[in-house]
Amino acid sequence: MGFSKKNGVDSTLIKKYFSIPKRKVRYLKSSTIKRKEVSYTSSTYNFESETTSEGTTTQWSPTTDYNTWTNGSNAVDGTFWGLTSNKTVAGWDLGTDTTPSSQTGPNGGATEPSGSPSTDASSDNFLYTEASSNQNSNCFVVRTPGFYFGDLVSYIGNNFRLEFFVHAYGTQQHDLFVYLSTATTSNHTEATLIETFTHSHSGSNNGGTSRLTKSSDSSTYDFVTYSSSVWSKVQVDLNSYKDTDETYYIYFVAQNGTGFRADLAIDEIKFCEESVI
Amino acid sequence: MSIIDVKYICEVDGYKIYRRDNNNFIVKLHDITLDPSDEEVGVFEYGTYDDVTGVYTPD
Repeated sequence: MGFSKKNGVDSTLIKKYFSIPKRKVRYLKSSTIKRKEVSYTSSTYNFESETTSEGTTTQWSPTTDYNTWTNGSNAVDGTFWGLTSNKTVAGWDLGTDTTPSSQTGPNGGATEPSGSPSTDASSDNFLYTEASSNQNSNCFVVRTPGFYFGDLVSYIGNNFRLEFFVHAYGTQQHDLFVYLSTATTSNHTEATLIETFTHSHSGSNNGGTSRLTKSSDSSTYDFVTYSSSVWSKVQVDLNSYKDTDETYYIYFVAQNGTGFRADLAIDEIKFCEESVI
Repeated sequence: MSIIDVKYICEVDGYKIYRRDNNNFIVKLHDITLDPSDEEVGVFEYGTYDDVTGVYTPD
């Protein structure tokens, strides 16, 4: 059988295509499909190297690998964070396995990719807002080290975002706020609020469903029953900041809990870049 | 014996573990000081306790 030039395609190209084994042709076709690829461009902060005596009044004191984090009032410029009202500023606690209170908090650290709680020693730590003994009325503040986002983005056209796991089961749970600032200490007035996760709950203390609703796109994250709820992976868009010549700090702020069932937890914090080509 | 069915309960001076079958006290896992009127006092759940490792796991 011979090949001829047809519709402007050279016969040698047609011959080459038909000479390739079928399996290889499928590979070549799939490789031409445009797809999004996600790569993590920073360290993952999972707090596993941190140790502290877990308790209901002991706030996390960052050490070793985390000595560039700042927790509690040392991260705040002034006396109060100042979101909606002047609440006493508190630091986040370092949790291991479960939090002390029943009916709130995860049963272990977050694990990729499912978010299942883990009590394995390599993945059981997390940060959380200890709410017992009326501490639910506090404003919990922790900030990351500074990041120059230009160092974390390989191509300016790619999407760039913050990603972390959150666990928010509890009938009296806090709301979570994510801020950005170029300052090592900040507050609600000085920092930029870039995302809000608002809590709601339906059902009983043990068997209900807690929900976080993300303000920017109204996406929801459900935590179903106290004993079975898993962590949710959430994302915060940072595209507006990826090509600015600044060092940014991320501030995690939680407040508005109405009782002891307000142990909100975060884990596996990292930055990622998503290829759009 | 290592794995015991237990009751985990918040009391005014801490979070404690009792045997589920006879309610005998085993251990206090976390300290806390609460007013007797605090709504958390008396809140409990069931789980298992490993008396070798000291790890409590809720059901």
